[in-house]
Amino acid sequence: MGPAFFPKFLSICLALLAGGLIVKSFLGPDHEAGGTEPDGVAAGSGRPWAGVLVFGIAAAYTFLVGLVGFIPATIVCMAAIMWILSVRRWYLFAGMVAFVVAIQYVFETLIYVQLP
Amino acid sequence: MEALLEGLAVLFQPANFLFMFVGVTVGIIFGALPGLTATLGVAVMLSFTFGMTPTAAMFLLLGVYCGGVYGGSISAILINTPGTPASAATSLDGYALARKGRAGEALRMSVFASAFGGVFSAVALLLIAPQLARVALEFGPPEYFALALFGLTIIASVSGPSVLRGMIMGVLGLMVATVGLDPIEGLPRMDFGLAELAGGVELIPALVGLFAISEIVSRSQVAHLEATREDEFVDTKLPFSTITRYLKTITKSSAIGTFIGAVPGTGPAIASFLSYSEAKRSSRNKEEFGNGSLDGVAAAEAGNNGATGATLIPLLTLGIPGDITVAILLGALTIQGLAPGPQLFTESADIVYAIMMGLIFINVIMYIQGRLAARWFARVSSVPMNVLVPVLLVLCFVGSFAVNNSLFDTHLMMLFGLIGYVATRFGFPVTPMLLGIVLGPIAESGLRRGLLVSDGDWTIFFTRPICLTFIVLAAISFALPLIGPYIARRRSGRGEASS
Repeated sequence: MGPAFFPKFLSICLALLAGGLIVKSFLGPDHEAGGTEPDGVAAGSGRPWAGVLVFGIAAAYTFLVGLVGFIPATIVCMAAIMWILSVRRWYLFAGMVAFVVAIQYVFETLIYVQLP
Repeated sequence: MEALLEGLAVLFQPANFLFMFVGVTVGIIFGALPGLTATLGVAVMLSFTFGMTPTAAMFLLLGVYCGGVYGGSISAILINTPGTPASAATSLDGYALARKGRAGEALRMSVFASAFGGVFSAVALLLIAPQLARVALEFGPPEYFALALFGLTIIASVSGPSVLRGMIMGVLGLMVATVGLDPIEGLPRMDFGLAELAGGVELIPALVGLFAISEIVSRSQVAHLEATREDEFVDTKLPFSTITRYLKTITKSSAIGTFIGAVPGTGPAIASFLSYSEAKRSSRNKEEFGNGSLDGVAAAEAGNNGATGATLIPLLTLGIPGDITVAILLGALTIQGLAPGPQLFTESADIVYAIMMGLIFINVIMYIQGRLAARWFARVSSVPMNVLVPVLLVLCFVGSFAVNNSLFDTHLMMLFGLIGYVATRFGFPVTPMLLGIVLGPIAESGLRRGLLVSDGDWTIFFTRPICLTFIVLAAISFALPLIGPYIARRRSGRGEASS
């Protein structure tokens, strides 16, 4: 039994299970297909685009932080996310900046983790 | 008896209780923050133990360990983000309870079950450590494979309404676990030529992505809305008389956790899932599991903290560290000039017994801290989501980054976040995928090493008592959810016909 056995075996299992799911979908309505949604989205008052934007900014942040450093990248990206999520009070933005600085202090000074 | 009394004398020094207190506090903070684990907490605090007495050093680190395993349940319950892999099972029911405005109850049940499991495990360590260590030593590769196989049958319990979808996610998790160098020959597999994947996919970024990032994206869609009345802060109490109704589940789960914890290479995460599955299997209210069952929270938490003391059994009796955290504890003992193993009981019996009894007090301190702080923890539910989202994102980032000081892990976290969000959106549960990632390496390594030992003879898995027991349990556990409804329908059909 070599290194390829497990991945190949799992691929076959996955294909069989996926086939089972396809067959099941033809046999009748799939009541289990509906996933979970936040209450507001289901009620029509949610903003699905906000979720997409938050994910996009967070993904970009993981790249940006390597280029410009932890504090500038975090402040810019998190402020953008807060704005998208309708935060408008200035003191909440100030609190976020203080939080970011505190995180860097704790991680670099107390936990010895050198942030980018 | 003399050693026990000497141990008590060593234990009852005020400084020891101070270090226990500080350790538990630090551990709870590390455990509750997504991405930071008990292991990281113990590693960080190790540097503070230089110059301490051996008992004070161990109490500080054990406090961090126990507090960290418990602390993971806090974020699992409040924001559906398990602080540690061991708390993933807790989020299944804990978060459902929080969404119903019963976060206070879930938190109080969590701390009681955790402390009970921890004390149970510590007493087992004190009374039957040599016997449990002998059973643990019987575990060879076939037994590990059988244990992992049994663990994988839990997928049926944590899949929600669709077992088929859960199985697909479980297999996907097992495939993720095969990324990197293979465990026997060291050949690279599915790493796309990336050096960062040579060591495989790290568990923490995968956990944070699957649970935290997907939840953050999901909640971002409604974060602008004002808190509804149901979401407002309500600190629901949990009287002791109510807790006693769950003692059977808690005791059974503590025993499962203790047994699993004593087996090197397993740990609190597996113990937690096995305990949850057993509690669901034996419950009369199976439909409550996954929808806000206090039994589910109690089982998962008693199971994972039940493993904490038991992981010390192979360490103290045989000198074998069962997992990374215990390996760090081994390092701490070595720094103090102590060599774990059978000779430790003869050369430093007072210290060993002080550590064992101290573990009981650490869990009591953890209960007091958790109980007092539950009201404050529960207030997290009242923080507006649009403020909580950026805070959580920063914590997720630094938690994933801190595993290897690598930005690649944060990219992996986002990838798993996308998988988690899309999967949940289409009714595919993410917990089975995590289970696959945790158990995959144990299953593959056990199967292949077992066949190497037996020269390719598969009967090795059916001729060893412990191995056969787990395989039979796995077969029963797999078959029951499939044939259970059929048997129930036949019984009800007969009942109607006779009436």
